[in-house]
Amino acid sequence: MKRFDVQDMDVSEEMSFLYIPTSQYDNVISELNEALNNKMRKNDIQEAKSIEFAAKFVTTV
Amino acid sequence: MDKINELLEILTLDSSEDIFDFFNCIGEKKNLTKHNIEHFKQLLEMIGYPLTIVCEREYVDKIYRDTYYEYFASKHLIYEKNCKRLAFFIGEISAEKFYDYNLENTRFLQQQFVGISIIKPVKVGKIGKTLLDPLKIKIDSSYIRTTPFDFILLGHSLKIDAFPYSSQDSETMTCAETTVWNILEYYGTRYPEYRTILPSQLLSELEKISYERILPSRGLDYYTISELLKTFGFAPRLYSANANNEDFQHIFHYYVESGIPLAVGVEGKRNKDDIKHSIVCIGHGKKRKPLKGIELKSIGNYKYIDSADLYDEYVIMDDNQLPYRLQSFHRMTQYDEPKVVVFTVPLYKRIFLEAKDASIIVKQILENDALGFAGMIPKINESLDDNNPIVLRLYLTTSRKYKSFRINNEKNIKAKNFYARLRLPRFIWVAEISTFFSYENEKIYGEIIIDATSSRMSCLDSLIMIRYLSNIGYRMPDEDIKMILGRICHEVKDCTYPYEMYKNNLIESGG
Repeated sequence: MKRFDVQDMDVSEEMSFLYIPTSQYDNVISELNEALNNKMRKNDIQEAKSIEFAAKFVTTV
Repeated sequence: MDKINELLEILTLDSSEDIFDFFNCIGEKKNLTKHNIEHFKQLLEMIGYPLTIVCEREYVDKIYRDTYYEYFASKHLIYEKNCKRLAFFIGEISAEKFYDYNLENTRFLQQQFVGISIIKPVKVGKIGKTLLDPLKIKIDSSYIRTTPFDFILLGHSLKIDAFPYSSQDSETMTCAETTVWNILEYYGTRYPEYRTILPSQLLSELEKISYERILPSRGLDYYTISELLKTFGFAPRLYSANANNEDFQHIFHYYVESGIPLAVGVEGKRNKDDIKHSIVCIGHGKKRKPLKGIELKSIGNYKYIDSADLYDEYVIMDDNQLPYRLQSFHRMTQYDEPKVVVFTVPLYKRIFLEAKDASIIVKQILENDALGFAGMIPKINESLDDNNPIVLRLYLTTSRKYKSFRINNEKNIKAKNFYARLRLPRFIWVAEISTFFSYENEKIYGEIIIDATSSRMSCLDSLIMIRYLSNIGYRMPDEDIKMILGRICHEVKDCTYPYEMYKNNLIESGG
């Protein structure tokens, strides 16, 4: 039997830009999630307006 | 024997002056109005002269035949039940060529074949189902969504890539039903999950949800159009201009960039009367707006523009106009004071994350001090300023096509292998990051991939991969999001930049 495989990518062990200490992971994730949650809730209010408008917009020609 | 000879005509038209004679030759004198002739003349001008038309008389078009039995057969005036099918070819082609079945000749016919049009025996909406190859007709430079259609003509198998077009008869189908039919015809032809439908099937579903009779048609509201799309297997989303304000055109563009045909409601005025019309949007123009007229936004210290700001013209299928018309977003109809007010997106049922939410997630990540793109910017070997801002481009695609594109375009075999083994959900939102100069050369510096099968409340949990230059942070389906944070800080030497911008959703057409 022959098995063909390609080597994994050559990943540098050095930390380049975007280094985040592991102790900060939870902070980064929760900060992002909180900001996103707030923005998503604002969207919900807007969406009802779309449906209300669409029900009255009758295309005829 | 004479009768059989009348069933097929092969004619070459040298100029628009031949059109009236053409209609005489094919026996289409009844129900021929000045509007029909003018409309047909403009259609042929898109193909150019000389052109050869193969006309099959007494053609059974299933769409019209369905409408005939559903409606026209019960009227007092007599309507014919057969149509004519016209097949268009570029140049002058003799009858003998059509009966020569050697491979080389069939290839020649395929090369010259532009498409077909059904001529219905009615006064209004005479031009029925029409499929024209946008690569072979005179249209403005644009990027369009099409799908393959197959035909058998005189024993030859021919095919083109096109988007369905039809004019409305205003009795059984107004613009609204025609819009829905066009979209279903496209999806039913392209994807096995959907099916093409007959007008009677559309009307039958309308019966169930309408509060009054549906024939003769008086048009449909967009709530009903959306509900109809749902009935035929889609998970549509409605967007109105009044609810989405400044985001409206951006959201519109993201879906167009994703190659999703949109049902678009436009309003306008005709002789001071309010008009509400429905069309299908299937692409956008190639021409970009100059940077000077675009308001730059900021993420941190960096100025950026959304690629949606660069485009103002969109390709529409409007049953009142010719197919593949390119029109400004602010002038998307032939009526006065035009305005796009609502659109519905026929999404696949497993796409839970929509454009607006994907855009919010991407921009929040890009702004973040730790995970944002600020660290990458100094490493880009270009001068960034108001003349060369960052460009963000957002689109939806299937992971199958995305991976195929990346595997084909990555130079290094290890990078190809990475993309081949990367596990992605069936649908993904991709945000490409580039500079204005690199964007013009169709190159990018980074991407963020979001899971389109996640819900909006997943927030950051929808993040699958970030690539900034040669740094790639990704996670497999069973891995925590922290794996992305752990991987993103390591440079991958096999991934070079800038790299190819994804170009699979729309085809380039026009001169």
